[in-house]
Amino acid sequence: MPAISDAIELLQLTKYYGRRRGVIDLEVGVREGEVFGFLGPNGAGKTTTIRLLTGLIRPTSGRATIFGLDTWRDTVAVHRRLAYLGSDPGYLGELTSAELLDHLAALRGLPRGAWRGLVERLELDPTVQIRKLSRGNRQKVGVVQAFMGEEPLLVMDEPTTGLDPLMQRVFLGLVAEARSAGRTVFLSSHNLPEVERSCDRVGIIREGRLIEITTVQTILAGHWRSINLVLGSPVASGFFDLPNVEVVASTDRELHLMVRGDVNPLLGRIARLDVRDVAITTPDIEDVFLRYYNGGGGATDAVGAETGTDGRLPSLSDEPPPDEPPPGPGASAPADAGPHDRLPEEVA
Amino acid sequence: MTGSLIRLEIRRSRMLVGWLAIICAAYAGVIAAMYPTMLANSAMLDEYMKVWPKEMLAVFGMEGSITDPGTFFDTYVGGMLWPVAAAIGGILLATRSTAADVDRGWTELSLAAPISRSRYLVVAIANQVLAMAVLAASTVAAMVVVGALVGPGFDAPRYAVAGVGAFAFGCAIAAVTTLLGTLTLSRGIAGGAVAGILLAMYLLEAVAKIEPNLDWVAGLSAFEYFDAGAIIDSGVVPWSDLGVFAAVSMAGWALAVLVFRRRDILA
Repeated sequence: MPAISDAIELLQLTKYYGRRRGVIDLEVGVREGEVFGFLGPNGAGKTTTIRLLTGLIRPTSGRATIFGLDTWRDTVAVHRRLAYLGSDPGYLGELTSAELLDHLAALRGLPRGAWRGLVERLELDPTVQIRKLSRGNRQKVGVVQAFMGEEPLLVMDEPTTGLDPLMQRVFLGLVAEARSAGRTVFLSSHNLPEVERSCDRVGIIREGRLIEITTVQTILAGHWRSINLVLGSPVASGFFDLPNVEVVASTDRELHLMVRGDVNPLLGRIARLDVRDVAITTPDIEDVFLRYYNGGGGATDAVGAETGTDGRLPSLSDEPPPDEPPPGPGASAPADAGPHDRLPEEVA
Repeated sequence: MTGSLIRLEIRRSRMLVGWLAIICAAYAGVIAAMYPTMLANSAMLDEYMKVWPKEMLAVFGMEGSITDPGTFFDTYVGGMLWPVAAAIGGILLATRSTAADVDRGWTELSLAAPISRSRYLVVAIANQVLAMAVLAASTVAAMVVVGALVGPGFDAPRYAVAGVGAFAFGCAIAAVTTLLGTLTLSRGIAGGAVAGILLAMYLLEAVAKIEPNLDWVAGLSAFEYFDAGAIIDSGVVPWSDLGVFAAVSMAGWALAVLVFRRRDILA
């Protein structure tokens, strides 16, 4: 069971829309001051969970609490403690960003112009009507409104959608500052690098069920990375014979390696070479899901048992992504993967 | 907090309500400007009206002489302009807060603030009431002012009471639309249903006037309770009719708030 002092507690939280599945028996606890990522493919139940958290929809069974307050029964009190950014907020196009932000600030009891500093950081012109803003700039408005207060909890649904890399970095800075200030952040995302940089722990949801709660490090430690090298001279055969490295392809002076877990031994070998170029690819969210759904991640057996399928995600390609390594020994149970940080056992 | 909500509601409504008020005032003013000409030719008009079947005249509220101020109002405003204007205003405003804003995601953002759903919807309802008051006032004021400018004018207090009846009728339309909007969260369904109900009521009223054996169906029509002509001609305040509209309005809005508080807010 989640601990009493958790900022967010989901207790057997279930939501059906008529006969259609929303989420089923979610058990999550998010600690105060933690940045918690919520990962899952489209339709997995992320937005449903966030709507349950914000009291917009009523649970079919179970409950969600924020700082001990029931999100459905004590909605107003809950909303005094949270700032929210939806995945596709419907702003009023006829207003300028300044007018909209002032209105939302007033609803939250914030002073006029509470957004000014953030607008400058995000390089947003507050005098432009929202209908004239690009998708990315509209998203900036959302980010500004989410961060303009000092509520102890931030709930955000895919907050960086549409933001350029520079602004994504600013966003990550804001999240880091929020964490430093002791605020709790709950965000859903498809963007693993974003989650990797910002989140302490992540919950992975699939088909409405929580598959696992773990740390980003645990996910990445058990996952492959792709390394492309361009060398000044050919390398001897067997040079990269390491337990966690596979040579996927090689030509005279170009190598495509896959590595998982500790990258230091590989980097040590690469450092001895005359490297002209290197590219290290972070696994994307699809890689992670495929791992969790195809036998890795420790929760697969349970998922398979629940679904009665082979556990693969229907919406994902059945073809492995280009940087997916060929299955090898231990691929379904990485030797270097840490123990899974499943919350219920951890805090019970 | 509430002040900001009210200001935004009014701001978002001002174009719609402003233009509707201008249209109502312009139409009512033009009609009022015609009145002296009609008065001067009342005998000829009465003869002309005898040509038409009594049933058809009854359908359009043209019972009695069209130059009677009450019949005149009923014929050109109460049975024609006002139901259309009130339906447009009521449907658009009532479905905006309950359906359109949910669909676009604005409600979700607003309700993420520490504001109760009840307060959110009550502010929207207050805006509907204000809009109906503006529309009714602009219509009646235009008739009275233009009537006074071009001729003998109209009895302002009696027209004001007719305006109150029009306001009450408009509020009932808005309230029923608000309820249907909260139930369906669909602007199309709620708006279409209310427009269809109004049309059906208009036909029921017509059927009741044409066929004496079916006069009981008039009681099912809102138009039966909005007899501005009788108000103007008799000078009697129709408390029972106003009470019906008030009861429908209060019940519709109260139920809408109840439903809105308890339902999922989901596009």
